Amino acid sequence: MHPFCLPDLPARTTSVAFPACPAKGLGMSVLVKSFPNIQWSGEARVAVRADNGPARPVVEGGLTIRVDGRERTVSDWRALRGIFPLLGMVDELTKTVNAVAELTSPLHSRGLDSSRLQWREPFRWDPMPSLAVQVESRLFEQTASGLLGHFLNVRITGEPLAGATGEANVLPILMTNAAAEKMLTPITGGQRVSIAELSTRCGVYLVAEGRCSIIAALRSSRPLEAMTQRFTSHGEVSFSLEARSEAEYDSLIVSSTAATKASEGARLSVAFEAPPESPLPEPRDRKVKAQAAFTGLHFHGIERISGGVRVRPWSPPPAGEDEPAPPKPVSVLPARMWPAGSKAGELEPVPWCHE
Amino acid sequence: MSEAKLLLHPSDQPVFRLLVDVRGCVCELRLNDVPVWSNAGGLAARAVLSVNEWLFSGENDFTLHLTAPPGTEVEPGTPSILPDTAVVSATLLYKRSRAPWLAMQELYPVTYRHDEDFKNAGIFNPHPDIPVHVEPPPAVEESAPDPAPDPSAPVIIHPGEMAALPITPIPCDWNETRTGIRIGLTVKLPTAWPLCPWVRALDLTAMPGLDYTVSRLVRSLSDALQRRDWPGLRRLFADRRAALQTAYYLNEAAADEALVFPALLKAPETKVATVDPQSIRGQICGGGRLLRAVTGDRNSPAITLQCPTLGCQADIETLWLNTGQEWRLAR
Repeated sequence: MHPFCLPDLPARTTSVAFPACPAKGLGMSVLVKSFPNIQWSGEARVAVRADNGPARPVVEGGLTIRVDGRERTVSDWRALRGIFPLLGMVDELTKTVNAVAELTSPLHSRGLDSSRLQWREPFRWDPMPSLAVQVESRLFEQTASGLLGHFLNVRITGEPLAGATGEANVLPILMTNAAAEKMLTPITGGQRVSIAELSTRCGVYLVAEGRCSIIAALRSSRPLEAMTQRFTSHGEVSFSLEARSEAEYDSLIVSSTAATKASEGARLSVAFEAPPESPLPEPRDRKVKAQAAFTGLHFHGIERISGGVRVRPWSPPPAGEDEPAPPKPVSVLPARMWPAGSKAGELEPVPWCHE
Repeated sequence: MSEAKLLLHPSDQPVFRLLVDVRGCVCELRLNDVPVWSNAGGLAARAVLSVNEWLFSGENDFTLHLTAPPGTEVEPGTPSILPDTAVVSATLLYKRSRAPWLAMQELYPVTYRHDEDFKNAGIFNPHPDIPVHVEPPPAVEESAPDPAPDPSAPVIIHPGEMAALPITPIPCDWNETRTGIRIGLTVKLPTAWPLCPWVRALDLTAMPGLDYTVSRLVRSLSDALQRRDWPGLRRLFADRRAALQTAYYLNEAAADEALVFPALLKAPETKVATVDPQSIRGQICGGGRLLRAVTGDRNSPAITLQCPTLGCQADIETLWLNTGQEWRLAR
C-alpha cells in the first residue's frame, strides 16, 4: 500500500514544479496524487540492532493510514521498505555492521596480550545506523474558497545516519590468512612467529572515526504554499588500519584503501546526486538520486621504517621478468552500495575464525 | 600558537611521533627539509612515524607536501592539483620512552580537506594582486606592557621540570611549482636538545658534479654491503647509529637492532640490488646541506636489499654531508 498511489480509488493529480536549488541544481518536477478520505500520519524509526547476535533492522513506531474511518498501522520492515525505497539502504548498512562485527570481535584477540599497545577505546558504532521517516498526508478544506487542498509532509532523516569510534586489534585475524600474512613480513621478519609473542610487540588496529547524516524532506500545502524540499548529506565514517610497535624507533605504515579505488580511504557515506538539468522522457529519471556507499577495506601491506631503512614485503618476480609483481591486496571488509550492487572488493577475503 | 606542558628534558626520555593519515593524494613528509616518508604510489595509508632522530634544538618544521596521485593530469595553480577526495591529517604525539601507548598525548593536529579547505585557505586566488585575507592590524595597548623576555637568552630546562612546548601551524600554501599544497607545523625545542649535525656542513646548492659524486658514494656503500664489510660499515654508519642511540635511549644491542640492515645482511641469500650508476641522482635537502641518493621516477632510495628468505626487501636511505674535507653519511 503506497501513500501516494492507490490506483483503485479516484485520485486528484497535481503537477508540482520543485523550486530549483541554486546551490546544488536540484530542479525537478513530479506528480503527486492525493485521494479524498485517505490520510497518512505517524513516524517510524528503523534502527540496526544487535542483541547478542547478528545485527538486523528493528522498527519502532509506525505509519498510520486512515480510510473511511478504518485505521491500519504499517510498522513492519518489509512494508515500510516497499513504501519508502530509500529505507533500503538500512539493509546494506546491516550487512556492513555484521561484517565489521565479525572483524572486530574480541574473540579473535582472546588470550593475547596487547595491552601496552592499546590506545583508543574499543570499537563501537556511535550510534548504530538508523533512519526515521515521518509522514503526514491529508486533504483539507481551504477556509476562503471551500475547495480542497492537499497537505503533504514527508521527512526521512538520519541525524546521524551512522557513526563509529574506537579501534579493534585485527592482527590475529590477518595472521590467519596466507596472503595477508605474507604482507606482514616487515614485522614478522619472515619467520613463523607465534601470534601470542607478536601481539606483545606489534599491533594492527582497525580505527574508525566520524559520523555521517542525511536529510531528505519534502513539504507542500497545495495550493496555499510553495513546495519546499531539502536533500542534504554530511560527513563520513572513515575506516583505516593503523599499526603500532612497542619499539620506540620503529615507524609502521599500513596501506589500507577503499576497495573501489586504491588511492582513496575506506569510508561509509551517503551522497545525493542532482538530476540532470535537461528534461528527460521519464519523470522518474528526474528524481534526486541517493547513494549510500561503504567503500570496503583492502589491505595492501605494511611497511616498517627503522634507522633509515624502509622494509617492505617482497615476492619473487614472475618467470622471465626482473621486477617483482606487486602483491594483490586482501579484502578485509567487502564493499556495499545502495541502491546498486558493486563488483568492487571481490578479492580473497580474510577468513573469519569463529569459535 | 599552541603550547603543551610536557616533561621536556632529553633525560626525561620524551618520544615524539607523528600520526599521518593520507587519502586521495600523494603525501611527502619533510622534517627540517629532509624527506622522511611518503606514500609514493599514492595508496591511501596511515603511518605512525617515530621522529625523535630528526629533532634538534630550535625550530623543527614538519611539512606535508601534497600532490596528485600518479597518472592524474593537473593544471598548476588551479583546484585540479588534487582530487576532491584528498584528505590528509597529521597529529603530533608525545609520550615518555617505554611508557604504554595509553600514555600517549595528542599535542597538535593538522588537517587538510581539499574540497573544503582549498578556497578557505585563500591560496586559490585568481587575482593575486588582491589579497584574500587581510590580517587586521594588531590592537595597540594603551597601558605599558610588561617587558618581554629576551628571545636570544636560552631557556634552561632541568630534568623533571615541566615546560611549555611552543607549536605553531605552518599555513596552507602552494608548493614551489604550484602543483601541490604544503601544510605543517613548527615545534620549538629548547637548547637541551642536540644541535643539528649538518648545520655546519658545506652548502651544496652551488656544488658541481653532485650526481657523479653521489653515484660514486652509493657504489662504494653498495660494495661494502655486498661484501659484508662489517668494520667498514660500522665506520660508515657510526653517525646514524649514534643518533638512534641518543634519540631512543638504546643500549648497544638495541642500537644494532634499530639499524635493521645488519640483521637483513646476516641471511646469506640477501643481496644488494644492482642499480645502473647513470640512474642515481643527488637530491639536495636539509636546507641545502644534505645530499640524498635517489633513483627512478619516484625518487626512491638508491640502495635496495632483497631478502628472499625473509620475504622482504629494504630500501636504505642515504643522506650525505660534506664537512669540507670528506663526504660523510649523515643519516
